[in-house]
This record gives sequence, structure tokens and C-alpha cells, in this order.
Amino acid sequence: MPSPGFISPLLTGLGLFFGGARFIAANLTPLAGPAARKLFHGAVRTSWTAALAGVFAGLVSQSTSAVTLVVVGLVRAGVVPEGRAVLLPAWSQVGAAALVILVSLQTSAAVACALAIAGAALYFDLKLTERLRHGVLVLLGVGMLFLGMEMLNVASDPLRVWLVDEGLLAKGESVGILLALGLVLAAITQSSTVAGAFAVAVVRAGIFDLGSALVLLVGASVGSAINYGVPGLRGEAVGRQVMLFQAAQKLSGASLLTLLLLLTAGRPQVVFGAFPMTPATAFAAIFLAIQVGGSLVCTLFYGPLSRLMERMAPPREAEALGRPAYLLEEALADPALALELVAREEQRLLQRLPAMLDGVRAEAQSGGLSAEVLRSAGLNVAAATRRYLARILEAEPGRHAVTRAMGMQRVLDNIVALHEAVEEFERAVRVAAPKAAEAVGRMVESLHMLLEVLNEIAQAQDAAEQEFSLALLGERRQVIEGLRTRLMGASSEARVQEALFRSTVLFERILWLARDTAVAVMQAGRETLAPETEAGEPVAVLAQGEASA
Amino acid sequence: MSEEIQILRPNGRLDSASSPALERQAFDCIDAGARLLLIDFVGLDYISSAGLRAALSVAKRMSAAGGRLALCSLSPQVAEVFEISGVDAIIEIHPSAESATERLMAG
Repeated sequence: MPSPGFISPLLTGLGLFFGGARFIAANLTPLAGPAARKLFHGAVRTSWTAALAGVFAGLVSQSTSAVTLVVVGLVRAGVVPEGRAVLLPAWSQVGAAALVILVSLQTSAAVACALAIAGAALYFDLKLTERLRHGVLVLLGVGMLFLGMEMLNVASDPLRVWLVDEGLLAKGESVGILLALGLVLAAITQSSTVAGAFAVAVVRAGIFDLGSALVLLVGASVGSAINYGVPGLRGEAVGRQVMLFQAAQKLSGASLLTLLLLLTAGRPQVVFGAFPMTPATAFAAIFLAIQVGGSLVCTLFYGPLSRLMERMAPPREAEALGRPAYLLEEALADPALALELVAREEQRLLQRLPAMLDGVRAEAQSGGLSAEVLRSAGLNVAAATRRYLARILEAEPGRHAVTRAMGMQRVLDNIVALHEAVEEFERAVRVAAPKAAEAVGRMVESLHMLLEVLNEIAQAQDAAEQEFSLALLGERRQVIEGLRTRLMGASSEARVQEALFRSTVLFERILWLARDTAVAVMQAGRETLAPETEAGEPVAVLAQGEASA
Repeated sequence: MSEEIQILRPNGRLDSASSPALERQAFDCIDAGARLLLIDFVGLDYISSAGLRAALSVAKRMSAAGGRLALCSLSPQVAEVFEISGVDAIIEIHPSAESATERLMAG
């Protein structure tokens, strides 16, 4: 039975250590987030700029998970192409190794100052800006981390004696246990950096020697690879290939470390004996080296690895639908071309609206994407298109282009509203359909046709054809009210009646949005066709004011 | 230009499977010179979005050719679909073949 003097400092040390690590990651990320996004946007031009950006991001955030999330978000929004973006989180492992190096250094004076500053700022409730508050909490986290290590030092001697007495650290039998401990540590912390920092702490405390700590690190690296690889393969999020690349980086590092241990017969201190390093510092140096090594391997073999990832996690239809297809970065230099691409992207979004009703149509093919997935994908693309339009306007492209862009913004707002309304309509119909299948079915077929007509208006070049189709999108309140009265009689169940009522209200709303969208599209088309003067003004404007010329 | 009314009578369902055939038949009539076309829905008990679009497509083609299209004998269920979708505002609809013929011949 362990003595009470062993348990308290151990638990205190663990609590302070992990709590401190969490404080650091949670508060460094908001400090670095906006800068990271700007940095990433331009960083993926080459593999090496992506690598440098990744190192910097890992250094300032001390959280490869945060960097991965930011990159996945950017990839999902179509801001950054997935290709080289996978290198950013991989190289952030190198930057995040700073925590491990920090833990290996004797910095009790600096820790005392950090705790004093943080404690005073919090106690005296100083008026801090949001950024300073995060900075103070980072200092608090650093202080907690090092205090935790001091408590682990206090617990180390009795703990080591207990582990040896209980046979858990018997020579020659500990490799499997160490690997398992590493796996468990990675699973619990969800961070190989924290696992590495913990390993440094136990080396400093003398609980494990350098070789044992490195075996533990191999286990933690494999565990970390599993943490990334499982969601990457299961396809739970866009950016699966980013996750898989992270897993590859971890496995590469684990392989290099295993090679080092095999070559030195489990005694790497033989290699580092010539350098004036403590075991903890040597561990930190090796940790940094395998992060660099793992990232380097993945960068050098980027091509073959990417192809392997592509085979293991091929892009899914829903993911492709959630990214813009036409918004080329290069086209931003030519506002007219960029606006044309926005128009195509909007047409692409309008094309999908009829498919959102397939889940409630008898003759639709089964196996298509649900209305919810299409809505979500559509909103992602709309958000990316909105950002693209904003960038066109930032370049001050001239009055005609600005007018056209404003019109497209109006269309985009309607497209977002249409996605929301059609998905809600589909949900209401699902509730109502079992009790009023035929009546609801007629409404669904009518709406499906009208959404296809809207799509045709967006695609048509001929104004007469557009006007012909526009006549179908006119207001018909009395017709809908009559329909509503008939439908409400289809069931006495309150839930169904509510759904039926809701569906007719949504039908009217969708019809209104469709007409407004069609008018905006037709107006934008007329503006596109208007010839421009050399000053970029439409000739029609001059013609109206010609009397004064 | 022929003054004779061409009559088409689709049966059963007008959906994505059957509407292309009706559309082809109607276009063939128009291409052959027909300028008065009546589609009699007396035998039709279901129309889907595809059927509506086929009717619109024929209406557009006939309008471009300078002719007239009319529909007749819609069941209440089929008529409701035309009403909700607003297609009844674009295409002439008559209660029976006789009234439709009379109106088409009257010009």
C-alpha cells in the first residue's frame, strides 16, 4: 500500500501539470488565431513556406490540435486548398516542441515571476484587454505547469521505490508496459506535446531513465497517430487527409525513434554522453529531433504520401459539394472575370435546390444526399463566395463592377435563405407526409418544378425565355390559402396539422425568394451585357444623361 | 399552316419516365406544321414535376412557332398541381375536349 506521503504530491503534481498545459494551449490559441489564419492563407504556395508557417503556428499556439482545427476549417471553407495545407499541422509539431524544451530547463526564477504577475493581475482584477487577459492566463498556465513538475519531483523518490518494489519497473520487462503507458498517455492527453512534456517531467524526477522515457515516447507517438488516423479514416470531418498526414508524421517520428533505440541497444545516453546535457534536456532535444525528422520525411515524400492518402480517404461527394468550384484566386486580378466566376458559383448553388426535395419525392432516385447535407454544403459554399466577393470589392474595381457585385450579394443572400427554407420545408413534409401523402406530394412536385424553373432562369441567356419562366414565380396567395385549408383537413393530429401549416407558409416564402432571386439574376445579366466606356461606366447611364453632353 | 387540331392523350402517369415520350410526340407534331395542339389528360391520374416541365417545354416551343397549346380534362388532383405551380397561368386549360376544341378553333 503506497504511503500517504507519495499519493498527495503525485496527484497534486499531475493536476497542476495537466491543468497548466491546458491553460497554455487554451489561451495561446486565441492570441494567435487571427494571425494564424492570415499566415496560412499565403503560406501554402510551396512545401517549404507551408513548413515554416506550420512551425511558427505551433510555436505560438503550443497546440497542434488547434493548428489542425484552424487548417481543417480553412480547407473546409475553400480558403486554402487541401493539397499543401496538410504540411501546416505536420510542421506545427516542431513549433509545439518548445513546450517540451521549456519543461526540460531549470527556470524556477522565471516561473516565480510568471506566477507572481499572473496572481497579482487576477487578484487585483486589473482592467485587462482581451488579449492581455489571455496573456496573463498563459503565464498562470506556465506557473502551474512548473509547480506541477516540482510536486512530481517531491513524489519521485517514494514513487520510484514503490514501482520497483511492486515489480513494475523490473529490468528487461518494462518495454511493453512503457509502450502501453505511452499509448494511454496519448489517449488521455490527446496531445503528443503534453505527453512529451510529461515524459520530460518524469525523467527530471528520476522516475524513468532516458531510454525508458524514449520507449514511452514511441508509445505516445503511435497513440497520437491513432488519435489522428481514426477520425481521418472514418471520415467524420472535412480535412480527413490533413488528419491522415498528421498520423503519418507521428508514425514517421516513432519509426525514427525506434531506429535510434535499436541502434543504441536501448541506451541513447551513449550518443549524448559527449554533450553537456541533463537526461531531461537530452530527451527534449531528441523529442525536437524526431518532430523535425517526422515532418521532413513527410515533406520529402509528400507526393507518394498524398497519393496514398487519396486512396485511403478519397474525397466524398458531400465534401466536394461543400467547397467552391469556380472561385479561383488568380482571377481576383481581373474583377470582371472574378464576378463571372461568382455568377457560375451562384448558378451551381441554385442547381442543387431541387435535389433537396428528393428525400420526399416518390420518383427521386434513392441514395442521394440528404437535404440537411446539401443545405450545410450550400451554406459553406455561400460563405466562401461572400468572402470572395468582399475581396473583389476591396480592390476597388470601378462603379460598374461594384453595382454588379452588390446585385450578386443580393442573390447570394437569397440563395442562403432558400437553402434554409427548402430544408425546413422538407422536414415539415416528412412529418406531414404519412398522414397526407397525396396532397403534400402535389405541393412537393409543384415546388420541385418551380425550383428547376429558377435554375433555368439563372442559366438562360435569352431574356424572352427568362420572362416566360418568371411568369411562373408570381404571387398566388389565394391558391396557397385554399391549399392550406384543404391540407389542414387531412389530419386531426396536432403535430401533423402544425407541419402542414408550416409547409404551406414555407412554400410561399420559397416562392417569394425564388422570384426575388430570378429578378436579381436577370438584372445582373442586363448589367453584364451593358457595354462600358473607357472609364468603366455603362453606356446606358451616359445615354440617359446625354442631353447635358 | 394546318388548322387541324392535333390531339395527344397521355395515360396513367406523366413522370420522369413517360414525359420525354410525350414531349417528343408534341415536338414532332409542331415540326410537322401543327399550330393547334390539344393535350387531353382524361386518362391521366398523376403528374410529377417532370410532367409539368414537359408541358411547359411544349408550350414554349409552340409559342415560338406561333401556335397555340391547350390542355383539357384534368382530374382534380392533376388540376391542383397545375394551380399550385402556376402553370395554369401560362397554358390554357379547359374542362373538356369539346370546350377546348371550340376555343382553339375560334382563335
